Amino acid sequence: MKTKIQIIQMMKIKESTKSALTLVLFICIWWSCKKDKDLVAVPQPILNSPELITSMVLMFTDSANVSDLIKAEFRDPDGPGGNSATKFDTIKLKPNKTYLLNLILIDETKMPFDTISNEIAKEKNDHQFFFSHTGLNLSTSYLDKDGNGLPVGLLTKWRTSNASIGSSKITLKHQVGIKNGTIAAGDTDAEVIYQTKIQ
Amino acid sequence: MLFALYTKAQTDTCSGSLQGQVIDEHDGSPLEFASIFVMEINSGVVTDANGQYKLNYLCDGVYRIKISHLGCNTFTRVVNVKGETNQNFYPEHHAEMLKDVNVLAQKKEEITTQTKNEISVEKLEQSKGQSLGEALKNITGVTSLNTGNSVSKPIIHGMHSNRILILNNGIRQEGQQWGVEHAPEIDPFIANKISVIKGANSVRYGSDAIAGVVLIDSKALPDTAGLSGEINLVGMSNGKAGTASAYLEGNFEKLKALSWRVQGTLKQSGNVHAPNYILVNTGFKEYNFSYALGWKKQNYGVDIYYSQFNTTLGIFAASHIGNLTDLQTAFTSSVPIITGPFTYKIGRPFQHIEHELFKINSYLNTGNAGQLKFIYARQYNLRYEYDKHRPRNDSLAAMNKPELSFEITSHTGDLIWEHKRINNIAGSIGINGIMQGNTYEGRMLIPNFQNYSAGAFWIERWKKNRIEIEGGVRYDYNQIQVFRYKSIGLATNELEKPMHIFKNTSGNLGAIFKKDSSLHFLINFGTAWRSPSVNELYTNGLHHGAAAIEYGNNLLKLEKAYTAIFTTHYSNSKNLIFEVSPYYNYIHNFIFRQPTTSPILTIHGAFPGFNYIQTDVTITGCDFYLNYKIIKNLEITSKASILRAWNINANNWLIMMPSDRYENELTYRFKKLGKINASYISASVLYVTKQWRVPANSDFVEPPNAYYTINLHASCQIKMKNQNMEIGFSVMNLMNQSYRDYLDRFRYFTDAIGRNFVVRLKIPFTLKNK
Repeated sequence: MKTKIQIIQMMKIKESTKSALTLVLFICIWWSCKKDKDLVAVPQPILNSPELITSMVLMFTDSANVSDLIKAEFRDPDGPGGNSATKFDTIKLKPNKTYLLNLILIDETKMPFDTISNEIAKEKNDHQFFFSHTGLNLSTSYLDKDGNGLPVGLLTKWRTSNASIGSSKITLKHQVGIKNGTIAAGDTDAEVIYQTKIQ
Repeated sequence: MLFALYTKAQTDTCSGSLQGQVIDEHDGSPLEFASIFVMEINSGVVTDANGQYKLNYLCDGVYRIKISHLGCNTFTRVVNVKGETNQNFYPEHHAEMLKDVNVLAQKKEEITTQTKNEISVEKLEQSKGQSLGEALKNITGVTSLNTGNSVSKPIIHGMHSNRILILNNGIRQEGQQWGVEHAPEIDPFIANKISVIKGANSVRYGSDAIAGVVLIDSKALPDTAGLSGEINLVGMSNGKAGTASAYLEGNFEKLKALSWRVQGTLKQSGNVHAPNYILVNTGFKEYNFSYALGWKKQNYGVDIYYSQFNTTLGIFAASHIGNLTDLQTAFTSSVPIITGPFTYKIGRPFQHIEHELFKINSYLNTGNAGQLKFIYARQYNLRYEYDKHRPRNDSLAAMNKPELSFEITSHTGDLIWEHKRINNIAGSIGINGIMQGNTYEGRMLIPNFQNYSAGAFWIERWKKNRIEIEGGVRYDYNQIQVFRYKSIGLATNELEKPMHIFKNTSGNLGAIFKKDSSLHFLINFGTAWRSPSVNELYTNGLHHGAAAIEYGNNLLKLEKAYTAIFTTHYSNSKNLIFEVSPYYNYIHNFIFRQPTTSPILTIHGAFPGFNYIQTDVTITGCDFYLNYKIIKNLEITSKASILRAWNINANNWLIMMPSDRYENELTYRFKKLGKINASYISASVLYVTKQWRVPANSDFVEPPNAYYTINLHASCQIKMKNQNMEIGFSVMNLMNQSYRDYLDRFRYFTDAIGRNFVVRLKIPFTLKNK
């Protein structure tokens, strides 16, 4: 009821005051408008563009001969969409060997390149790589663990046996708060299927 | 008498009326016993104690009204009656010289031969608390493209987004309307009238209304002294949602020309649920407000309007897709891959949207000839989209910036001159202009651009006896200047500034034939065209919500539509209203997304790719409406929307078109009981068929099955202190059916929402200042 009385009082304010109130209202209207950006500025996407994974680099080291380095890359420097991948190697391993794999993910849209795998190492409780091979005499085991004792997969051991040809699927899952060591949980951050030859 | 849906194809069936108040020009007091005499029909009425009068059963047209009152000079006014017309008269209480001034009535309809349907007052009340898109579904031929329950975009005759023009208080809504998950940023509570013009025949509002125009109109500002308002409260069980909206308006007794209104809405919802599970992260928060100020004299007037719309809405957590395998997992799973408890908390992914409108609207009566109108508006639209995951990089994560953000500012101006009837011809001529700038930050989805458009139109309407003919032409020029970086390899980009210019004419020719007072026919032929939108020209990249990579095509040409619509409208005052309107659209260079022949390989795995291409299509269909009073208090309302869309070039069906839908509603109206009036109870059944008319293998999953839902509504008004308080109750999806709709983008991931109890309360109030 108080408001009613106030409003009635307001009504009784003299005309001059009313005009002043109107003016104040006008000013309020103008001020409440959000500030115009320049109609269009030149875009600055490079500085602001969000994190992206563009490339996966596999660095295999023969555990018996550290100088034997094998590299396999998937590189799509402008990210998904746009131009297609510029490099997509076949993994070529020798039979009956044990390799250590260092898995590197990078964002090539940034200069210098942003090494996403370092960020994953920091957030290892929320991420896991999964490896599955078809048609290959090959087995993979994890060499790294997160804070909860679950595998991560940035560092793995690949053991080959007889010569064979097939494919290796490498999947990175983002599993915030739901990581349980299985591939089913979470969303896919990266997934590359490499042609693999053991020869 | 209230109809469940008052569909009125625009013409007079002599059900028009003229009402208003007679007020002393000098002290603003209402004049009792003033005589209002209509010279053309030799009949009149006398005002009551509040100076109010009402004349019923007038045909649309121009009338000479003689106003006389003791102590005032008798004078004559020319009034243009169109439907329910409001007109106040201000005789001077002194013996002064009075000029014969021609007054154009306040409510003037500009379009006539188009098929225009309005949401009935009753249905508008029932849809309170829901989004604009949901409210619009009450009109036959209008459906919605949903992204869950919080994002709903209107579809008219199968077309949406850039093919529909939404006019918010006469201003074309300009935001990021190209996006399928970008709902119109309008608070439905600002509207007291929502209508849809169907077909590509809007010469008046813009060339780009390929499918039609949605008109959202606020109540006119008060023009009698006083202070009044209304409070609306809505509660919903599903999502435990609450809405509160109110307005307060007034007019100063000593300064009659000045009137004002302030309005605001608050809305919040938590996670909604499907019949069998809770949909995680589907809550939203919304706050909106507007204010209006009007200065109105007999020969000129100015309105200022400002509104703001702000929403933060969660995006259903299980709809974020890493790649095609994730999508497969999502739709083979019987429950969504992420489930959780009820909460009001909104987590990632979410959107935050702000929309601001400032408008000045002014008119000047140009002597006997007509009226000049000038409208300027500025709109600012901000859209932030946050991904499901924070950036892994700590310094980036700490900034908590949206991964995608757009800001678009639009300035629009209209100058229109409407001339009144000379030799049976009335019409208007006008120019419009738009200046628009868009910037983005974060991920590139659409580039920065500037858009300049200008248009000119001319519409004339000839009317004699039972025939009315309307014709209009329009010319538009549109220039889009794009600024974007193009990758030239190794993290280096080059700035490109391509420019696109589109220009064309459009036109409209329509006629009304009135057989008698209950039956009339409308026919309309029209053309419309639109420039390709910037996303169609330049989008390039991955959409996580849609599991698709889209490639824009900067060689796209303009899209041109040819439409024909024929409406038969019958309404007798006794028991039957019937409207049927078949339509035909031929669209040349229709822009749509065509799947690429092979999936696109990315670091995230394989994705289906889509190219924007053009084809010729036909969209034909029929909207049907019937309201029949079976017995005195019982009526049935039937609605049907049937549509067929054909891709001529591919000789196949067109994807993403609504399937046929049928709705039947039975309403029982109770007699007035003491202070309780306008009470009714109704039950409706909506049946939506399966959309099998799609090209084979064009989608990840087959379109969902047919479904039906049952909704109940009950409402009554209680008279308290001369005001009608209204209480409403509804149950949506009464049977708690599990179903998925073809045009819900979340159909891959979840069922639609389950049973929802809704309670509504409307409390109008008057605070007199005397």
